[in-house]
Amino acid sequence: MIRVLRKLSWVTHQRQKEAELREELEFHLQREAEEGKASGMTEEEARRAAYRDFGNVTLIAEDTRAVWGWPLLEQLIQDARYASRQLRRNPLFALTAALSLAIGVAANAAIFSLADALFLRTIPGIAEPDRLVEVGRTFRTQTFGNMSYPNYLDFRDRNTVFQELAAYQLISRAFGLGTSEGAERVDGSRVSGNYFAVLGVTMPLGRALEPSDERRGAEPVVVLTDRLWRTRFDGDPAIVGRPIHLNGQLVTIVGVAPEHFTGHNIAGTDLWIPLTLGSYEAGDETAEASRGSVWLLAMGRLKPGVSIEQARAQMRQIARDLESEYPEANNGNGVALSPWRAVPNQVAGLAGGFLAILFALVGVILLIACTNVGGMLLARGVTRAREIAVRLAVGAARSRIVRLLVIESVLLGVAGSVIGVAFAEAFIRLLRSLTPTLPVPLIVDFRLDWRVIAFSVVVSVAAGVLCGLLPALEAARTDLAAAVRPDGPAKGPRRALLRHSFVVAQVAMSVLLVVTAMLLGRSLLNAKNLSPGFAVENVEVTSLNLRLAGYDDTRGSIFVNELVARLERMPNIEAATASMVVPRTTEAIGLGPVWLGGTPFDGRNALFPEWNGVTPEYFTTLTIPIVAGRAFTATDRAGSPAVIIVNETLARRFWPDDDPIGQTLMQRSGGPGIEGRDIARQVIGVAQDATYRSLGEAPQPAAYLPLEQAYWPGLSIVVRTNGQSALATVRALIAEMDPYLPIVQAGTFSDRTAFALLPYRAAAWVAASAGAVGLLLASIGLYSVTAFSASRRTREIGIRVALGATRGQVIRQIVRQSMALALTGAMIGLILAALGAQLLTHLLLGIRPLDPASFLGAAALLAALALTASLVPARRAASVNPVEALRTE
Amino acid sequence: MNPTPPSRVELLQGTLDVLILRTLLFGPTHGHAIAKHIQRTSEDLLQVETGSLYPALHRLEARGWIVASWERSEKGKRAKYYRLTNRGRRQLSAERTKWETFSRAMGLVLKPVDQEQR
Repeated sequence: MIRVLRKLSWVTHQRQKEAELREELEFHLQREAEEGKASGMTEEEARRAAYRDFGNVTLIAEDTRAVWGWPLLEQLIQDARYASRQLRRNPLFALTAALSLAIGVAANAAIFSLADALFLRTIPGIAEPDRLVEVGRTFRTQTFGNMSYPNYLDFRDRNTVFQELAAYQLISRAFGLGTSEGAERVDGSRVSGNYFAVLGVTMPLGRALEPSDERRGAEPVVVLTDRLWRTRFDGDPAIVGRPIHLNGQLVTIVGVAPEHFTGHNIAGTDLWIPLTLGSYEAGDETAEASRGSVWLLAMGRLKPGVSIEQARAQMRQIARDLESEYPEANNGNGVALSPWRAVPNQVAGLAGGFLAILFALVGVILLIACTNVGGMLLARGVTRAREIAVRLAVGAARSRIVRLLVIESVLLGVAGSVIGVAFAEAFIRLLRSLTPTLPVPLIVDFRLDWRVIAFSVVVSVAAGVLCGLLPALEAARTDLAAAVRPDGPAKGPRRALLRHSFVVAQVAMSVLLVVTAMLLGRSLLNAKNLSPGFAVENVEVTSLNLRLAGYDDTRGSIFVNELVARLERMPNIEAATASMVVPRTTEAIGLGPVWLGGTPFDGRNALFPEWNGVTPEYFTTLTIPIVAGRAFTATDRAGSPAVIIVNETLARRFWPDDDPIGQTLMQRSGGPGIEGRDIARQVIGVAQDATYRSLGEAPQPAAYLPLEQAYWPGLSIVVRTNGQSALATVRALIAEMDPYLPIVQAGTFSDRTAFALLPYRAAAWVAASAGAVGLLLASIGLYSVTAFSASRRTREIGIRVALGATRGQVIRQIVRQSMALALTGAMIGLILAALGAQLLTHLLLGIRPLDPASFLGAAALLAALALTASLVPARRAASVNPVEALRTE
Repeated sequence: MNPTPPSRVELLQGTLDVLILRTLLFGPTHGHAIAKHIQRTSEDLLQVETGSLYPALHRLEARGWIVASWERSEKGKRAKYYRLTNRGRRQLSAERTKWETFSRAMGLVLKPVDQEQR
């Protein structure tokens, strides 16, 4: 410490000591000169002799200073000052290089901000998040699924490793909040009474939910988020104790959560109610009692001194006990524990993988930017050869020159990071604007915070060193004798090779990006053009939950039938239907396995189809042809014979040779909360295959039930319009029929499927921008290398022209060289892309990773750009006047 | 660039420090005088490079073997004078013992060969 202080104080005394050293050396020189004079030389002679004997004054001063301490810092400051002067003297170069780096840095910073928001930041309000552990159920391929309420209670009561174990529903549900005009949709999360205690979140207003609130028959209570309290209740300070209508039921507000706290993960909510509070959704009552109905995740706070491994061991034992105690419901069920994260476990892997792809893309951009700047620095090194040679000649060490040049590029990096952070802000805003309306509130607050800025600076400086080191080492190899010759330094083949390999690398990486962008872009086009198996044009979806207004199954069916019938008569609606799920919206429902009638169920002979419950007009509304048999009719209702329509794939699986119509299928129904019940259903029709989860999926077996035979209160009203939006019509009609029924979500089919396409869209967008930037940078690189080598060869070109070469011959020769580089790079890029594309397989819809159009397209695009980038400087070089060219040097 | 005549002896690594300390035993003086003194007393066999002299002086000062102060020279000019400290004195006698032992050893080893050649 004291040594450091002493050295620091030395820094402040530096100037004085510096002056003294100069004086001391000057004194020596004077004495030397005086002695020379005394021995008979003239004053001038004596002085010169003194200097000659003395040697390099600056070097001696430097060596002496080195003895004092911290010469490195001093030299660094000196170098930095000199480097910035050099850069200022060449502002165009400095700006181009800094901009290149800035683009690379900004792209990385934008993606990093996403990673930061998802994985690095904690959620405000949660105490000691590192002691929180999430608990999920493992079953077959499921690694982190929901568990049942009774199993949760057993885990909670039997474990001794957690202070508390809470339960919650991962995705918030739509609730109807009563207002003076009717009902409004809000998102509510059902949590156990100890949820807030486990998180350590305290209420600034009122109280949190308590274990007693979870008891059956307890007074119904709700806790609001700060946001809902402010927007809906004007931040009324006397809100606690006020009753509100939630799905038609009176509930008392007991507390308001802290600002910015909207739940313990990125799936946000507007309010919290106890798990057992009332029946807000179909099957809730039975769901609570059923061990087979899984709908909850658990989360616990470890007791002090207990590790997650210890907790895991004990919870696994409890899971084994539960499996043997309740073999029917818990067969094959295990338990998984993982540290708490803001990204839910179910999607963490997916999100992580997706981020990795994005990072790979922007990483390549940064690499291109680096090689680009590296190429510029290399060229600059050649033009500066004489300056460097002079520095070497007067005694500078080569290491010092390397350091100086690297510092120059680090300065470029710093400048790049400043511009880059500004760019990043714009990129992040752009990314945000790309986020479509989501079916659930997602709280991913990615923004420019100190971590993102620190990341940008580190990346920039690293990039500066990376791109500066090779050119600096190369420049410092300058051959002294050659460099000071009037016709400039010899162009070593080694240096040309290095410069060329920089260009080849740039081209290769941009081809890699362009192929990626082409693949993702074409796949996205496919997503629009691929036949989904049904009509998507002019289709609009309005989602409802009849439970939110208190409808039971019978009244709900009547309401839906009347709504659909009245909608069909509207002038701008061509067809209307109601269905349990809308395909490709990430919605799905499981209505159990099906197997051939007359055989016993044994798990191996059954299929789990994509289920839907629909009203008769479903097939006409979405124009899904019925290829055999008939569609549902109004007579297929609750109480009439059980029927089923299957798709072609399912029919082929069960009856490859026979006519499926009239056959019997067994269904083991088990909607949430309903214990298995086998129903024999007659196949009355075969519908054409469609897509169900995502475009480009392999043909899936699917089965349709009449809505009335599988009633479910959460459903969607799907209409096909005549091209004129009917969303307002639907909304108005629903409000007219029941003002207290809130609309959960409404939009066009494309809006609704946008969420499912989000990863594809984001990846395609990032890849396309990356590809464009990469191409731009590579073109600049190619251009500058061509221009540079042409300018170095002015003399040679002059001689050729003087000897009778035509302009065309000269141009051809220069272009041929550049194109050779570009094509080498393109080949390498295509090979890299062929390898890399395999990683994208799951992001590609309807095209193979080795899609020839994408690869050829990228190659053609690059060839065209490369030709342009080399033709321009080649033409300029060829128009040289031989007389002038030969005279220049 | 180096004008040292071949007849002169290159200074061995580390010997300059001892020479400087020995020179300062006669009393405080400045860098130029130290160099001249070494040159003279070695009958011009040893040439002190200024490039080594000043770093060495500053190094010795940093080690506390000599101290410097600005004084008027004989000609009335301001000059930096170096003075031997007690620690420097001790260091000098230690170095001298070491050097004598070393040169005796060198002499003993080299002698027989010389005789054979004659």
